[in-house]
Amino acid sequence: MADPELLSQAATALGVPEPIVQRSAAARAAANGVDVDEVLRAWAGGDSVTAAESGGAPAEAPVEATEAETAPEETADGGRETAAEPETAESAAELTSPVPAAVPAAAAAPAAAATAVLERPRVIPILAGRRESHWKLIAGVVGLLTLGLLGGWVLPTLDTLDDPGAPAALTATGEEGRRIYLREGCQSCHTQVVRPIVTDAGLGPVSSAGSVSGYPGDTIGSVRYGPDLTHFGSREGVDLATVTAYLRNPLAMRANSLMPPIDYLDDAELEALAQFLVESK
Amino acid sequence: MTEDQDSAARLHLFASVAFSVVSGLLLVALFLSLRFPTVVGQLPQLTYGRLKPMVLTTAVLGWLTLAGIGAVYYLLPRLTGAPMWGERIARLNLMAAVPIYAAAALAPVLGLSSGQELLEVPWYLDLLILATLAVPLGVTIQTLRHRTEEGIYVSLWYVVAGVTAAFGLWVVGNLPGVIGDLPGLGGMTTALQRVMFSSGFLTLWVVGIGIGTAYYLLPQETGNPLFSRGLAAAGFWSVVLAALWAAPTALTHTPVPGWAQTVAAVMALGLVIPALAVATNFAGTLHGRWDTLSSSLPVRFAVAATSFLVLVSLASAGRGFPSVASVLGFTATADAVLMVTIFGVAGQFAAAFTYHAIPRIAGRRVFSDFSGRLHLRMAAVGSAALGFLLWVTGTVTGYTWVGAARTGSFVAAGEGWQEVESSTLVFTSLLPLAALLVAVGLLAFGYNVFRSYTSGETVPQEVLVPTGAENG
Repeated sequence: MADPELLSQAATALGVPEPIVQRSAAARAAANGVDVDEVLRAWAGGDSVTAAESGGAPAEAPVEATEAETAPEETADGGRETAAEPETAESAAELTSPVPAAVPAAAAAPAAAATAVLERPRVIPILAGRRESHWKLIAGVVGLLTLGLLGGWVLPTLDTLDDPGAPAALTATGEEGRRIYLREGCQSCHTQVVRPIVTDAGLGPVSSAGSVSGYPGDTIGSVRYGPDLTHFGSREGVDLATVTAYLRNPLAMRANSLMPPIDYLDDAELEALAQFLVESK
Repeated sequence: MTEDQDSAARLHLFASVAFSVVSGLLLVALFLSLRFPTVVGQLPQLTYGRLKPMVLTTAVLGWLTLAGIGAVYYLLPRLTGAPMWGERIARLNLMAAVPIYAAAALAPVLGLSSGQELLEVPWYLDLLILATLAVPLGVTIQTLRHRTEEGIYVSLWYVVAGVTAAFGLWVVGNLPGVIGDLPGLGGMTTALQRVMFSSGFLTLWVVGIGIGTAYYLLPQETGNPLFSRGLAAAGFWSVVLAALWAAPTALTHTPVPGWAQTVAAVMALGLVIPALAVATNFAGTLHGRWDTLSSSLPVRFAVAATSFLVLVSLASAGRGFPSVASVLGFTATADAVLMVTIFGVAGQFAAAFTYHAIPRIAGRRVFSDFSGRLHLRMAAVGSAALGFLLWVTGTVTGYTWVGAARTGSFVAAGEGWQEVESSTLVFTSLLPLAALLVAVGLLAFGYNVFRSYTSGETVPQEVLVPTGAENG
């Protein structure tokens, strides 16, 4: 356990938060085979404990080493060229430091000490990017997204508003059933739209935008793990009692059905759900 | 000495990992409930219809959004040359976001849902979620305003696009909760909005931020500079342009206007460009350092994610063609794309970044390389199996419908539906096993990250922000 006072002094001297100093000191102490307090004492005095002093097992830092390794720099056309060798390690650190200009003058000395002992990461020069305005970037993104909203949602929607067709007339109970249908996630497995393609042959009249709109929410769905229910109420043998019984226990009426029993709903809700399905014509 | 730099990024990443483990377990329950609806019990919370939004919300908001926000906070100071603005606000935001996202995930299974995927939670939760998405947007803009680094690296493009899209789409995506209630609307209006939101949020935020982090970590891990900035720019602007326009492909052949379906198909094809650009750029960056594929866990995850990205973009583009959609539309292929996007692409990018960042922001080495490799294998194989099985299920279903219609042997409804179900039972039966692989991978992930933080070997961590320099 590090001496709290030493820790505080070291943190102040280095200009680095205590938790980081503590963890780093522990790592440095382990690497050098010395006591944590010894490391902290050295740091508190503005000194550094270099890796060369290491006597114990080296702590293989996953963060990059401090050497000023140069990386090829990208050219304007996207190719690579070799960057000029920095004059000194110090200048390289300055070049690659993520926050060189953010270091206040008064804090420059302790910050330099922190660099030495805490192994400031090497940042590859290319990560510096190319000079450009962030406002232009934001404006470009917002502009294209706005265009996308228009093309992906607003304009197609406006285009469907004058589409003929009216939705099935629902009673109040049917509307309540529709809300339950959406709430229970029935649309995760069922759709309510018939398309003018061969796979939907026999499912009933093809849907228009008008026929699938008009009520809050959307029962159109996107995947059919179960059959389409657009014209469910028009199918032979469909009545309220049968549908209610089926919803309660699908397996009793159809072996191997993947339909889950909806028997956890109370009677009123179950009947409302069944009513909505019966009214879906 | 008041601030622990990187604390917001670190906390976000740890919280996101916890959500990832939960999402993996829920994924198993989801596909069990799909194939064996009575085996998993009679609890309403375990029906497929209620579980699916819970899984999506846990994975997309709890795991990937928190990981994405953590990545934003990590990248900002490192790429702008300025201390992150509002470290404390960001931490407070996380304290709010965790219970809010958990509540959003629980809402559908508690019967509080309007039924629109990812947008189904009650309006008051929507508002709270919006507030949590506003913070990373504010932090990004404020930090950019104070940047000292004149250049803007590629990753920052994705950060800006991601936080902007996440916030903006959440606003617009929830509007139909109001607009859709107007007389004569709902239905088509809401469906179009739903697919637009889903496509944009997943592509620009959940996957986009993953691509941004990979652009950052690959040069770091390999020591090579980015292969081509021009290629990166082409990919970035293509994805920002096409992500929303391509959305109506999910509704091909429905009453969506014909012109919108055509444009969407073209734009979906356009989304292959960014995927190929990213893959080419990453391959170029790895050139000469392919050895990192065996030595660096983050690189392996990033490569796996990129491979899934290319596959998903091709699959999405293919599904957008009207002729293909006439067979595969409304089949499980839609879920194949969705699940692989979340667990294959975004999940692997998030893992790559988490493994890259842990030593640097927690001062601890990743605890177990074995667990990391187990995570990679299980998650990659599981995601691939999940995608493959769902795709095959969908393809068989589609052709069964076509065959039935052409021969007139049965109609894919009522009793006829049993024919459809029986043709895919073998594939749907294997889905829980594929999900189990993903879950095992995510459990290994959770274990590894937890042990790294508690027992990992201490190592020096990156120091970026001198005391007193924080301006938030």
